[in-house]
Amino acid sequence: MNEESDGALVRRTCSGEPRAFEGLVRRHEKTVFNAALRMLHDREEARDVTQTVFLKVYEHLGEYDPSHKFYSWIYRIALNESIKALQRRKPTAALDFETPDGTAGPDRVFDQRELSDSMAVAIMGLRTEHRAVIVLRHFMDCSYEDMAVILELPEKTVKSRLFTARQALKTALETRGWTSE
Amino acid sequence: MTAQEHALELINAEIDGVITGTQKAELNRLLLADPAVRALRDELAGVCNALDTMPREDLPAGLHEAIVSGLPVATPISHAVARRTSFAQRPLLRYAAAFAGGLLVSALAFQLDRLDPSQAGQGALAGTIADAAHVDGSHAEARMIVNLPQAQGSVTLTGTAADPQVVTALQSSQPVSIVTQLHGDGVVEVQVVDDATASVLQRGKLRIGSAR
Repeated sequence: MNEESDGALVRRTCSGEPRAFEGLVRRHEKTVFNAALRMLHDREEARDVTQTVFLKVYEHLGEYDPSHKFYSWIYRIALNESIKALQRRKPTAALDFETPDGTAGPDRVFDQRELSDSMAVAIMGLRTEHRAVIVLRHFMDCSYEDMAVILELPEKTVKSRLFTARQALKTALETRGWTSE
Repeated sequence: MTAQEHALELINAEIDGVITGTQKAELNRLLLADPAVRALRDELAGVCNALDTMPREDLPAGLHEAIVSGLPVATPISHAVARRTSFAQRPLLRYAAAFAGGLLVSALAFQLDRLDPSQAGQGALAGTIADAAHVDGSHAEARMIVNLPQAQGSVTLTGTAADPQVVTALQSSQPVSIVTQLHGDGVVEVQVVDDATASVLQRGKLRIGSAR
């Protein structure tokens, strides 16, 4: 079955079929929510950010440049809104994530749940710009090129940040006793 | 770039599935030669695998409905608007026009099918761009109709010879630029340019009161 493209749904929405926008929401809402969740580590905030993202997208749909990928545009808005939400937090709130809550233990194999939980905390321990590239690459499936467009950075810089962020995650997990074995 | 940075770049290229054949051969050589590179590759691959297999959370109950019901009632405003540019209001352009012609670029990115039919008047796109009350003997106008796959509408030269105005009313499915050049003889050359390829899609020359 052929799915209507994002661009076609945008045109229909702007042509007076606001219900077409629901197709865009349905297509991107889960990715946007999960990206916000990984940026914020808070379901309620991620929920609010997701709602705000789609409201902004709708309000500014007429400004969407169809020469760019629609998802790049919406993902950029999602990242920006997540970062704004982080900035609204009290400074102490972020500190909870900067120090791993587990102490270094013997090397061992984590079960999936334990690894996911540790990874979520490790992601929150990253600097915001490093967290953003991890989220774009691993939770939004963006290519280097997409990430460069979304972040408005040279591809070389994006790759450098991504590689640094992965190493930082590795170090953070290792301090919690994780090994890749 | 140090040897470690080079190895790191190759490892990440492999993880991201963008490694070339030459890079792959180079990485294999490094992996065979250096246990530290092997360890680094295994650790980073493990981290990335853990990231990729983290469960994606379902949407909170009611979020989809909240998003949809919270949208404004009004249809989003598209960029299908008429733009009016007065050369007279642009001293630099008027100055340049007097000697070498003025160059004005209006970059427009419009949506298809967004001109308001009530403004267009019986489906005539030109109705959106020139108020008949302003068109008299000294305010004759010349119009170039644009009917391309990429853009539809019109570009109109109006006003007076001393104060010419270019009015564009276009819809397009992709970004286009309208490039107008005022020549010394009062002729305005109009080009519709595809922004993506920089190719001229349509060109025409307009003079107040006539189109040619």
